[in-house]
Amino acid sequence: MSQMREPLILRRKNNHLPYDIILNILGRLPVKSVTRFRCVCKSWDSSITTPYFISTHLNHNNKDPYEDGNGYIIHMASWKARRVISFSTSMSSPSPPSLPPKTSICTVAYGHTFDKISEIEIPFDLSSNCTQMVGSCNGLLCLADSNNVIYLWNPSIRKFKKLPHTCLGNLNNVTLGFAYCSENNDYKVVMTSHSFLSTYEIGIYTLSSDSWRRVEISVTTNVTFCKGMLSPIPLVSGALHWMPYVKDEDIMAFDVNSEKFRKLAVPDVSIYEPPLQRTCIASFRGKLAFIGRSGFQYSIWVMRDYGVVESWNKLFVIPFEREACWICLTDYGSLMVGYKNDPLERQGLTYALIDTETLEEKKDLDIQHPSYVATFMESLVLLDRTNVGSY
Amino acid sequence: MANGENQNPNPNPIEATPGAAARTITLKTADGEIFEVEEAVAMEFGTVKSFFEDDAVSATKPMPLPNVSGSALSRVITYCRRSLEIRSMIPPATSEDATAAEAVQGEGDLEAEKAAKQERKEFEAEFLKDESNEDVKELILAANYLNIKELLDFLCRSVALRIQNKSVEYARKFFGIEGDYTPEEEAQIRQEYAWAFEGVDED
Repeated sequence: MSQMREPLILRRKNNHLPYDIILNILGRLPVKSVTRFRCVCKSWDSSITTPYFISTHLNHNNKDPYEDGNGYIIHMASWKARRVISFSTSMSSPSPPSLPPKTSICTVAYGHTFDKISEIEIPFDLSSNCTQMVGSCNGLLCLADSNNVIYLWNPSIRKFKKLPHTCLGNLNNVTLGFAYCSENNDYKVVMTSHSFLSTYEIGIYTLSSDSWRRVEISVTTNVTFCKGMLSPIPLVSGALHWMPYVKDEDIMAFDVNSEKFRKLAVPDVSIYEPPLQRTCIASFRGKLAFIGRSGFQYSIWVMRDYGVVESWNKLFVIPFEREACWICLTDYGSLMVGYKNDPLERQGLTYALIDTETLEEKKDLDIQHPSYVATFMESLVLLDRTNVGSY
Repeated sequence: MANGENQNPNPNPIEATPGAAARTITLKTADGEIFEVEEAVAMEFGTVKSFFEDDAVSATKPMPLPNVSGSALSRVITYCRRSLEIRSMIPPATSEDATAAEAVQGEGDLEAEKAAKQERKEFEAEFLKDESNEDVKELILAANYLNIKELLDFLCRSVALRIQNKSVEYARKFFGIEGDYTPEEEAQIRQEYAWAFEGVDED
């Protein structure tokens, strides 16, 4: 107890905090608390549901996601149409065909250990067998099925929105990308479609206008949009990036703010013999990464200065003892690996998590194959939107 | 009590060590307490800093702080002093080039940063441990008036921690707010966001 030296009247004063300080405090609360406190009074409710409050809250609650232990991962099983059926030569013990994993659950886990935190049921029906996690930005997920029905979903505030049908016709070889546009604090879904006439069509959905429109591609030569299986198209420095389809071709980059395309060369890998098998591109601690395989060894390049092709820097070389047939680089700097199991022992793949710096391996991750993996955070995004579903 | 200068020493008297060149700045609180504060600490207060930047001459007269009580100022000074100490644990960055600094930053610097972070964490955990909600709010008002961003952010973070699991009624009481929803409107919110009302601390 502090000494009572002052006149009583000062001590007992009811300290009313100015409104801007109250908002400062509210902006630091977890999402559940903010939602509950919408009930306190009408002015709090109006303030909480503004885009300004939502982005301030996002900045407060997601400082330094790359620091150990701060970031979350969300993963979701995607069931590809092919079933895994094992054949057994012995008639006495035929192996049953394995059942497709459930697609209706997303799992939130710690980014560095993949230890499970919670499981979330997807609240809407995606009709097809195959669900894709298009992307994850600021706590807003974008999911799509193989019929290109697209949803935006914020599991933290239990709100989702089904996108209107695309403006593109004749959808073929569709790729989808999801991005946050920092310039207007807005969200966009980018759809590419490769029609029979061999020209690419691009459609963009913008959340603020809740509508699609076409965009022209300014780049004319060697345009391909290719996407790794099970990896969301990486968003780095405000641009979405598609892998080249043909070796030695450039990466296609689309700046979501200026809506301009450009090409970025991949690192010089001509020294590799046999030639490097290009595996994927990803976002690595906010920078563009390029991963290639040579034999049992994976090399990871990172583009230190965005857009500067000379700044590709080979940061890591990861040797593997056995064949890793699937790889995913998380934004936090861990490499998720899928090792092929000995078919006599087990079907499918076994997952492990490798720290790129220490090469420590965490084996047998609790994750289904095949799964989409993305970074995740809690946020209030979508709270200011009308015309969204709640559950 | 007598008006005019109350010459009682503050709870944490700052004795200028003999021969030290440290300048002190004199502050006078609403309840007449006089504080002599090292210049470095006082300059953490945005209000004090601009006061003395505008009028460098009045370093001799005590600066009045009519919106701050002695007890609040004493706590504020303790915080700022400690915060400065912790910040001085980290050597200043010397390199201009960010990417070179990443490569060159020695083990020692990273260790120092880690240690400072840990110190700050421990210090901040202890600082408000015995303070009542009213005391914390008084400190917020003082930090706001004195324009000390770091302290204000810390206090807001702390209040957020204190109230995050509390009920709507608790929040209203804490901030002195009257609810203005009709009973039907409030019931509707509670129903629509039932999940947000689960697991809340009992009042």
